[in-house]
Amino acid sequence: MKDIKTFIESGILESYVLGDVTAAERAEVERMAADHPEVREEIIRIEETLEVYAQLHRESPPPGTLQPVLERTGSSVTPPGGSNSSWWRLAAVFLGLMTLTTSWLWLRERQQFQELAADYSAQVLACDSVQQQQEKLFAEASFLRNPGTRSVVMAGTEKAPDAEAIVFYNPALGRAYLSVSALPPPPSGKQYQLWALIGGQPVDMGVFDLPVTVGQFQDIPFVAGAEAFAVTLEDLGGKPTPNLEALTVIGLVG
Amino acid sequence: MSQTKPLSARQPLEEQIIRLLATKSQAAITLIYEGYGGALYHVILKIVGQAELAQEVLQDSLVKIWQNSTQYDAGKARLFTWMVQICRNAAIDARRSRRFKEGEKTKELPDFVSNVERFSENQRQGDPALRAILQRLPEQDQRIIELLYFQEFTQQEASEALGMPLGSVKTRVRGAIKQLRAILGDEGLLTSAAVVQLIQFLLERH
Repeated sequence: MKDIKTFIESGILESYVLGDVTAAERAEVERMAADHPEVREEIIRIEETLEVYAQLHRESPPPGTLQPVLERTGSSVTPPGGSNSSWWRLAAVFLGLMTLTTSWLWLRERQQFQELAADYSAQVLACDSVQQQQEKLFAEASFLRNPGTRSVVMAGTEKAPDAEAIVFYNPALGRAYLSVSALPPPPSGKQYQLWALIGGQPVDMGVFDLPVTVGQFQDIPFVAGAEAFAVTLEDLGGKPTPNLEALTVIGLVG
Repeated sequence: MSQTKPLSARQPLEEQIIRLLATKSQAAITLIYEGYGGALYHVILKIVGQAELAQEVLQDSLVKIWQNSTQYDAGKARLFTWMVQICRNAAIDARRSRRFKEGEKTKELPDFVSNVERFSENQRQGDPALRAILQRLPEQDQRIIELLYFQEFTQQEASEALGMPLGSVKTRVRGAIKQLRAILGDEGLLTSAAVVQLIQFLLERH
């Protein structure tokens, strides 16, 4: 039985966090961490130290670093990014069209131009919505980083064991948001309703639909003194008191 | 919950990113960039030495983080540890490939004189928190952390370059990180509230 203290003092945990270990050493550290909480805690403390140190040294990457990454990892949505390129494409096509002189060609040009103009407008709108989405995400990140922000994770009940949603709230700012990680789509005629448990009584926080993007923040009222948050499945429009038979997720504060 | 909650409990931002990665939501990438991009960029930049190459490496690393997110085991490491390892490995590969192309033969120890110059530069225009830490952390501790964390040296390579046994390197690293931890703790930087405040402060300064 290896002496834990010697193991910790050997520096192998630092090596592990730095990624500078052999496969055998890695396996040994992970085994020791699984068996001994003090080893696990020490690893976490080393990680935190290095993370804070790295954050202290942070410097902003050049502007425009993020967009190409989103494009490369994008799925079905065709990224409009490089509205520059559509502008140049439009400009190039337009210039090409302008060199034609006969009225017959001019009529066809007009039609093509109108189509291109419609396409261009659609691209501009799509660009704007991506920009808006990014700004929204930056605001979310800012809220999450705020020192007064707290989170309550609501975990699934037997009805929906994999369901999960989170309430983020900040008493100092008086703001709260619901973030749905995983909720099954409600059957037709039904809607999810959020509750806060205050003084032992359920308080209606409103009905909501599943967000378009997973985890997207939805505004909810901020209420002080909540002991727990929960979501039930109710009839469309919600109910004044919760149907506890249809409890989907619940989480305790603190 | 009090404001002095220890950092060991995952911060809401890290938790949120982990959830979004699990559901393959691209919002995870934006949040990673926003919360950790600067720290990751700095580590990469220190290793590759050129801003343009560093930007490329950061972008490639973010794509890799996204693609390999299922390989991240939240039980084994903090999110940042996993991400910075990906970034360091990518930066080391890029640095070696560039060195090979430019025909450099040896890997040089970073000139500590220029480090000291950078240190005083940090003192002049760096933020107060970083200045305070660097002032208090002994030079040799800074140096070993610099070599292993912000440069491309493995402990084996550091042991050869510094002319000391591998065991000594490991002991030195442990000592340095312990010292750093003590200083950060003293400065109140190892609680979640303080860290997020610091990050916020740094972000606003740009």
